[in-house]
Amino acid sequence: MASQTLSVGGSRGGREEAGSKGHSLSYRVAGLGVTLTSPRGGPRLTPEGGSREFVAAAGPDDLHLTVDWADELDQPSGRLLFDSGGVWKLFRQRDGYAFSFCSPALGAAPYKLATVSHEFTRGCVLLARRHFDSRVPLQPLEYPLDEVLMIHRLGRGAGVELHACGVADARGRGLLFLGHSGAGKSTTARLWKSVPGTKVLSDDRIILRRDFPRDLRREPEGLRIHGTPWHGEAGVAAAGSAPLRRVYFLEHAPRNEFATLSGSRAAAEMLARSFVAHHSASALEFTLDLLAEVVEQVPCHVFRFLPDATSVRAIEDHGRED
Amino acid sequence: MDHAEQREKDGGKKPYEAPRVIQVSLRPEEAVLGNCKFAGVAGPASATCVSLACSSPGS
Repeated sequence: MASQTLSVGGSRGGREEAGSKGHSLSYRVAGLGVTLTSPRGGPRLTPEGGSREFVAAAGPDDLHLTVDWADELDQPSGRLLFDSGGVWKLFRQRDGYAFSFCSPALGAAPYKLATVSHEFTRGCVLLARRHFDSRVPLQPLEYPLDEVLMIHRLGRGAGVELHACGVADARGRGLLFLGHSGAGKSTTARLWKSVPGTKVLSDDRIILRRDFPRDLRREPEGLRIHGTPWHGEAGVAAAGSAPLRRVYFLEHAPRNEFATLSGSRAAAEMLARSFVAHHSASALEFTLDLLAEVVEQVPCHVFRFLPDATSVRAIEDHGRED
Repeated sequence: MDHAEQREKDGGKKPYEAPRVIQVSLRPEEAVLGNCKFAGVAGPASATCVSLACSSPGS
């Protein structure tokens, strides 16, 4: 099982401390490394919630962000690409993208602004100083910025984030249980947590990627599901991964039963339970191609289930021929 | 029998699937990660914001 990491460091790496040169925080999710650095006098960085599990030693970065205070922030001047209808909006700028975060409770000006390069490899996060207590360490990528950055990075050919519970069963097989809110993902995670030899990767968010061998000259070998920091009600956020072997769409029911899905239906249902950069044609095209690979390679079923231990046994029996 | 097994039975040839329109249930309020997922984890937006933090969970 591939490991994923997360590192909190002071100016010299290692443990978090107020170094003379500032702070750093590194983490790795689904094999993608992110490092935050804050200058002397800048925000003190610390992981929060599920991200603690993913702190990693500083290493090769897929995304490097600097973090600093700003006295005031203005809305970006570029073209509006996407309005979430909630706290964030995305703007196109000459040298990349800008994610602006606003709350009606805090006024019209952004309380946070994240700019990233065209390639999504470098950027900057600015925090409006008056909305934060500078004495308290914080995680500048707090939800939803961390996930928003991740889904945009994944959409550039790296993978897709799914609304799903993921399990590595006792045989090391990756089981994916997809569902909207209320479908039973957290319930499923709680049921599988008590199964010996099983690791629940997440009860709410799973990242799916092509499974590249260590020798990068070789072609990808199937698909792999990865745990993420963004847990649901069951609070399961585990660094780990497993090769994807089965896909189930959860539905509550008075008894356990399976229904086969056509490939096109399975891909459509999976897209409806994915987190993608909806404004980006290239990201959507890549995601659709990746989901087509899933339905080509992996059996996909609707799983109508009872929320008790019998559902675990039903899944184990269902996959016994693998 | 799922489509992969059917395909194997058919000697590797992908079975014809007639074009048709299907509807799937979308949850746009969940899909765009627009709001706070849980109260208390979205920094300044949740410390003082009742309307954002809890009325429209992001998950």
